[in-house]
This record gives sequence, C-alpha cells and structure tokens, in this order.
Amino acid sequence: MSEPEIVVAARGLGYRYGADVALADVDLAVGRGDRLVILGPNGGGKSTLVRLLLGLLRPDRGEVRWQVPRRARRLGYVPQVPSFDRGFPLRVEEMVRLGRLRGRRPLTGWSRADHEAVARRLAELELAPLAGAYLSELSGGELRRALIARALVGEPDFLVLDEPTASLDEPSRRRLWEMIAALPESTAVLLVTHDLAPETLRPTRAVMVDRRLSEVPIDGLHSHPLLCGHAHA
Amino acid sequence: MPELATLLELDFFRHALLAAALASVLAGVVGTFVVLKRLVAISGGVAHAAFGGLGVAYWAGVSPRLGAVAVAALSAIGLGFLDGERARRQDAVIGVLWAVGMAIGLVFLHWTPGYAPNLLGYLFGDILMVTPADLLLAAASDVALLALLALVGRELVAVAFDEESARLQGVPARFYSILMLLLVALSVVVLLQLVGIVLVIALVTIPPLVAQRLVRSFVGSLLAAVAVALVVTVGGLLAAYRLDLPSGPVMVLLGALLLGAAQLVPRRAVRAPRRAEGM
Repeated sequence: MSEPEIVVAARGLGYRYGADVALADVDLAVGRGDRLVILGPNGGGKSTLVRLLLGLLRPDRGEVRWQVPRRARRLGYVPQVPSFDRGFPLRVEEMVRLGRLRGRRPLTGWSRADHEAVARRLAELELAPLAGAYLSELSGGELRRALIARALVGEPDFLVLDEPTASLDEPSRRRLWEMIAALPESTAVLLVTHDLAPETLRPTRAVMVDRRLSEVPIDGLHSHPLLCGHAHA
Repeated sequence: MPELATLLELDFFRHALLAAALASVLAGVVGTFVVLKRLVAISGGVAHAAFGGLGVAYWAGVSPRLGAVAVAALSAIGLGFLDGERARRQDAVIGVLWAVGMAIGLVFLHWTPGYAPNLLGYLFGDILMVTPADLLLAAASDVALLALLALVGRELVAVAFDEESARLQGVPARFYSILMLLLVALSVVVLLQLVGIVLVIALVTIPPLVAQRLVRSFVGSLLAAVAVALVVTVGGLLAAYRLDLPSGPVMVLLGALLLGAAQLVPRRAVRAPRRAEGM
C-alpha cells in the first residue's frame, strides 16, 4: 500500500501556556484520506496540537507546513469549546451557512447550492426544525450538532473533530459516524476523542499525545485504557 | 410646539439636529459590532488615546480633529495586531493607552499658547458648536460605513461572530478585525462633537444594548440600534434645551433610562418561536 500524499506536516512542534509546556518536540504528518485518532489524557495537549495544525495557534518551536496554500484549503473544525458568544443574534441556519464562506467574493449573495447544502446537513443532523432558532436557544447537544453541520457543510478535505460526541445522545452519535463514513475517501479526518467504539470510526492511524507524541498500534485500539468503556459497543 | 419651530429657524440648532441624526447611524451600526464583538473596553481606550492626538494637534496648530483621528486609527491598528501572549494582556494595554492618551492631551493643551481651548467641550461634547465641516465628516463617514457594510457585511459579521472559524474559511480575519477597530476610531472622532471623549463610549454601547434586548435578528438589531441612537441623540438634545442642561450628559442619561426601561420588557415577549421556523 503506497503512502498517502502528505497534506500537513509538523516538525519539532512546541507550545507553552506561560511557563507550562503543553507540547514538546512533536512530529506528525497527516496524509490525504488519513483517519487519525488522537488520544491522550486531559491536559495532554491534544486540542493544542490540532489548533497548531490548523494555524489557530502559532508554535513557540518548530513549524507546521501545509502542502496547499491557505486559500486552497478546505478546512472543517468542530472545536471542543466554541470560541463564540452564544448570545450573538444568529439563527442556526445562518451560523451553519457561514461554513460555506470560503472563496466568496464581496457583493455575491448565497447561491441555491449554499441553501441546499445547509438544508441537507441540517436534515442529516435532525436540526431542520431548529433552522430558525437562535443559538442561545439550543441545548448543548443541539449546538454541538450545529457545529458539526457547519464543519461539514463546506465539504472539507481536512476535517478536525475535537471531542465531537461530548453531550451527544446515542442516535446523534450514530448519525455523526455515518456522516463521517460517507465522506469522500480523500478527506483527512482527525478525531480527538476518549470515546471510540468499534462501530464508529475505522482509523488508519492513532497517536497518543501527552505533551509528546507517540504512535499507538491500531490493533486493540478500542480497548485502550484512555478510551471510555462504550456502553453500546 | 412653537418653541421647537423657533429653534429650527436657528442654523446652529438645525446643524446640531442633523449632526445627531448622522451620528446615530455610526453609533447604531458600529456600536452593534462593538457590543457583539466585546470591543467596549477597546473603544474606550481608543477614545481616550484620541485625546492625546487632539492635544498635540491643537498645540501644533493643526486641526484637533485630524490629530484625534490619526491617534485613534493608530491605536486601533496597534490593538488589532496584539496576538498570542500579548493579546492576553490587552486589557492592561488598553488601560495604559487610556491614561497616557489623556495625560498627553492635557499636557499639550496646557502648553498651547494663548487662550486655553474649551477643554470641557472636548471632554463632554458641545453639539451646538457643530460646523458644516463636522457635518460633512459625519455624512461622509455614514456613506463609507454603509458602503462597507454592503461590500463586506457578511465577512464582518462572520469575524465578529467567530473569528477562528472565519479564519479557517479563508477570511482575512485580522484585516476585518482591524477594519472594525478603525470604524470604532472613526465613530469616536465623529461622536466626539456630540458627547465628548468621556461619554462617547455610552453612545456606542447603550443603543445596541437596548436594541438587542428588543430585537432578536442581527439585521433587526442593527436597524433598531440606529433608531434608538436617534432617539437618544435628538431626544437628548431637545431635553437638554428644555432642562437647560449640557446636551452630552443628557443624551447619555436618556440612553440609560431607555436601557433600564428595556430591561422591563420580558425576554419571552421578544423570543422567536423555538421550533416554528423549520425548513
């Protein structure tokens, strides 16, 4: 089996929060079509790593190199903790539509394709009845589904899911895994999780992040001590 | 109201009313972004830093307004470039900017030879002294603001809502953040004539807060903020005349009154039906 084409590579990555070392000397390459599971204890630097890869943080040491220029990247990201204020006066469908902002020219409105893509993702995540609701009116699980819809609506070729199943009920989890499974094979998926049942994602690789990074064998991954026991497995 | 009819015959009062109306567009629109993107402290810092530029320009014999706009813009750009560890210290930077700007302004005004300028006018505003040049600046600022909204309103909303997500979508988020801060700087300089540096922050925060209490949608709250700003500025001007009080503080107090009244409106009365607008 040939090695997948590298999409992004990190070399010697280090990051500190004040005096606290979050990551040190991390090397990681992600290829097209990779399904990479990132494991690690709380505070081990998993979210920091994906934020560094996405360019949301600037590394203190090392570098992150993308093979495609910034404008050509189609990124989808479900953050562990959203950085926005839920009181912002946006409806669910308006927020999800912002996931299709890439490449828009000024003065061009949303196209029919945009509206259809939003409607499709909302329907898949059973959010259609809440399309007109304001973000402040959503429950935690509904908001997480809306964030997943926003990440997928732009048809990303690099998708980062940071603890996406937190606060999701079982049917929503199942739908999420179905949607991930339905993504094009070329889409790279990075999944930060403590919750990986065998029927969910079929990872191609797994790494452990606890300030430093180490590869984890795929065999027997689902019984890894850092993963929650899955009641429905 | 014969008194009002008499007042409207006076040039300076007509100018004041026009200035209030023009400034309301800036206060309402820019203020909505200020409140939603939590730029209130930054706006205060920019306003007070502008006083430094005003003082230096007065001392140098050039237009004080020019000095204020230059320093306000530079402060806005400087604050927009704070990132990483420095961004975490932004509140301290704002505090320094705030105090040092005021201190520089006061020192240079003190050094200015001849008659001391009307310091209270700069600090608390004097809308009755509005000149045709002030009106032109306010009108041009409104036109520029509305044109910007038409051109890149969607990007501004995206960055105001979730800068990280906008950046991942390829939107130059820092550019739009700085653009927002420059709009704040411009608004501060235009609103300075109405309420002065000390009270200017009230005009960019109170109308949007009232509007967001009453209206849920983004565009609706933008329009409502302009309407509330209009009530505050024009109503404040008329009330100040009636009560024989300085107009700037009366505008602010009228705004505070409206904000208090808006809190009495039950949230549920303005909330959209939760699941009624599905596709």
